[in-house]
Amino acid sequence: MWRRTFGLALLIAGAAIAAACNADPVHTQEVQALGPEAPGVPAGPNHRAGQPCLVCHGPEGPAHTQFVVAGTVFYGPSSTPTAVPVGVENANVTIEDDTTATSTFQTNCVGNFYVRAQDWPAPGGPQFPLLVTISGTNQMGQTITDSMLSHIGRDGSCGSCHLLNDLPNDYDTPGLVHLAGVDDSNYTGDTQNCSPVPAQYGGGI
Amino acid sequence: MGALRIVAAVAIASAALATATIACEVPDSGAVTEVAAPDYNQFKGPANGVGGVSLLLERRCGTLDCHGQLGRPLRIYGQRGLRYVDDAGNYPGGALTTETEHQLNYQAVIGLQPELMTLVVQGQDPPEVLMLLRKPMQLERHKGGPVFVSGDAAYNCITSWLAGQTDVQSCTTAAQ
Repeated sequence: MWRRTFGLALLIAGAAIAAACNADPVHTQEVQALGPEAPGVPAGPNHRAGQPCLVCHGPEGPAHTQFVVAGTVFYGPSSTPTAVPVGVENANVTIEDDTTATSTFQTNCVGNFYVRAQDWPAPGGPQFPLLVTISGTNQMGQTITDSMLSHIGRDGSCGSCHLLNDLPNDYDTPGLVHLAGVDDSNYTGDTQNCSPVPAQYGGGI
Repeated sequence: MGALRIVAAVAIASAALATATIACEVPDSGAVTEVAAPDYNQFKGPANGVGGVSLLLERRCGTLDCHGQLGRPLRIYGQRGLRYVDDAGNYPGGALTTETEHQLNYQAVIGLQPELMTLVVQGQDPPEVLMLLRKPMQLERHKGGPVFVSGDAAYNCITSWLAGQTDVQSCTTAAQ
């Protein structure tokens, strides 16, 4: 009897230690590197525009909702220091997977979009590699469509590779996902319902 | 008894001396391990990268979320992925893959398993012993999943290059 009790106690202690300890320090570090929520932007579909969503919304958490692909579409590339990134609402993000299954998702008012496994037309979510095309309307009312030059190999977070191009060396990022080729200071996004300028963007891992 | 002790002491001392000699041996700085490597020009391809192995690896393996990262042992540079930092200031999606980047891709491929590569090039081992094929063919665990299968264009491109007669058409097809 005492053996069973001792075994159970040992199991509980082990589980407690495992829960309290940092099972994957690399992942924990990635989550911490994203920083706290921006002031005035609560956790939800509008938060953390531009950050690599699947760091938290992936299998390791800590977010409850899991995504398979997610990111942010900005208006311009923010290629100058004064050009602030502004998300695009109602941009279409079309994803084609390895089985040629295709689906289109729309961005919300900060430019965020996300795909959960159950949102994908085929069971199990999209199969990598993926091809992605975005389309939307620019300030002049023209429809713009642009496709990624390369495929996505395995990382469902747009923000893992698409970082704000303000680094001394931009050798490993093509910049933000953007609809228009040039920035437009008149484009302010949906200032009524959203933070006009995403307070956090560009990852930081 | 006394003689036995002396023999034992001599044996221990000899063993210690031998161990110390081996442990303290300085590697020969002039030693060279020769590697039989497949041809660089065929790797690079005949037409500015097109038709070579380098472009295939760039397109199929070298995306920024896979082997287009500095931390990868098989690190692949290319026009659409990771760029080599130099005065040219190239960025992903910009100028064509540079000569330096082709050379670095070549070194990454050769340097992955140089001894095995030598045996494959000399015909002593089949190409499937190389991780270069084992990983994308899922003969061993590959986080990026299956990339090509035996007999397809990518497989033919790489194996023909290893055999010294690169199938340019296969390489071109596989990189599209």
